Amino acid sequence: MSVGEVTRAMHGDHDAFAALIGSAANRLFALACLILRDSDRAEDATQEAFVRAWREMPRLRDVARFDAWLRRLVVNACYDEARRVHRRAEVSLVHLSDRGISDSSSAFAETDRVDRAFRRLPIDQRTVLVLQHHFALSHSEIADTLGIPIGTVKSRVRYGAAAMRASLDADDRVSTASSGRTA
Amino acid sequence: MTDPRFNSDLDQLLGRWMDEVAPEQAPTRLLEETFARTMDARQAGTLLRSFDLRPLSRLAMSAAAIVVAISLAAYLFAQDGRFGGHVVPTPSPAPTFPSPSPTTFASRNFRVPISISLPNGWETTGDGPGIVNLGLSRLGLDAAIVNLAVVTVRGPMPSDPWVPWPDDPWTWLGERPEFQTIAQRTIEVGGLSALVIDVETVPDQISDTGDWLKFGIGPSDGFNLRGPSPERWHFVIVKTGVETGIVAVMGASPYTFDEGSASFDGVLATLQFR
Repeated sequence: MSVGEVTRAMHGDHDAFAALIGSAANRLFALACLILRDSDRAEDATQEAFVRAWREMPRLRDVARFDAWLRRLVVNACYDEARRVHRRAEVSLVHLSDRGISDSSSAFAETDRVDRAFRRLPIDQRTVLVLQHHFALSHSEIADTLGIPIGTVKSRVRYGAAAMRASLDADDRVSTASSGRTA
Repeated sequence: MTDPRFNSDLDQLLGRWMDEVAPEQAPTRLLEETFARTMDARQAGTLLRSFDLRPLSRLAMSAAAIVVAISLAAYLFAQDGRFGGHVVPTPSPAPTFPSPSPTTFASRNFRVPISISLPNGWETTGDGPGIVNLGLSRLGLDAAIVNLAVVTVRGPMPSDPWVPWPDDPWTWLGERPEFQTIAQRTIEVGGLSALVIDVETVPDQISDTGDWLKFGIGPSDGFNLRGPSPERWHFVIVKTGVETGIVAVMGASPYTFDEGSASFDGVLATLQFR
């Protein structure tokens, strides 16, 4: 991100805005995909956030905080999207054809197991875990991104990790029991 | 106590899983559609800036201005033959369309019996014991009139308990970190003096997006600050007694606030306490 591009975008320069968004799009789309676990919804949320960013650019108070501000817009758009689709059943679809042939069945099973546990988390816990583990943000950076106290970030991380652990343990117990029955 | 070794394993597991499932690239369509939309979207506060035109646009604007000036001169000339001493036939009057007559709303369930006229596209969308909902779809506005007697609000500090509608709402709003007071004045509503307060939300200071004003006890009986857009709020407080009256509230984006609040005040000017 260049301060000059942000400043020009704030003054209505579309090319500068396109450059800013172009360089951030991949990682912010990944952020939305991880939070929502649905690429179509992630695309909608990311697009809404980018359009909102364009409209609200002149109101950005601190040019240096553009990245955190844009990330926050994407997270908020994900929250909006999640609320909108809350009534729909969440179906975990894994496209086997998308995966490499070298994937072993055990690796696939682990991915699926973590995916199921992650989907069970509330969206605010998913968000802090994604920002911490995939974006390597510190707790204070996450607090800054989300506009919440650092204590809230820590508790969401703690509760999210505990819920993941409980969910994975429960899955282990179920699979152990079922393999015991079939043995 | 949490087993740190297990947490570390979980951290690694999550990190690996996210690296594996996160897409590496955003779809091209995402950027194409975004830019198509932003080309047509106006930025906040750019009404005046839109006159900062590039040379080609200035030329086009000059040409348009000349056309308008010629048209205006021709119109005036046709209206009144004094220009150049010519007498021209008087054009038939331009057709006029009757403005839609305002509809009248009289509350049935709202505990403060009121009636209002709804001109210019305003419509009521709800009539409950604690609230009358109004909307103006042309500007995408939502507004409400709530029963002051049952309103509770968050205390001045985030840790403070809920309190009844404050005697001095200007001070209360000024003390809430998520609001910045803009202006206050008085108008007349229902034959009574009404206090008007305009505030702006301060996005950086919103730490709690839950309700900040409640007019009932249900989960959706309140106003909250969800959503990233900075918004402005327009309050019109009319007291009919020490602890009775109404609080009219309208939230709007900065683009529609001035027009919306003026239009809403126009609706409130027709309010009558029955």
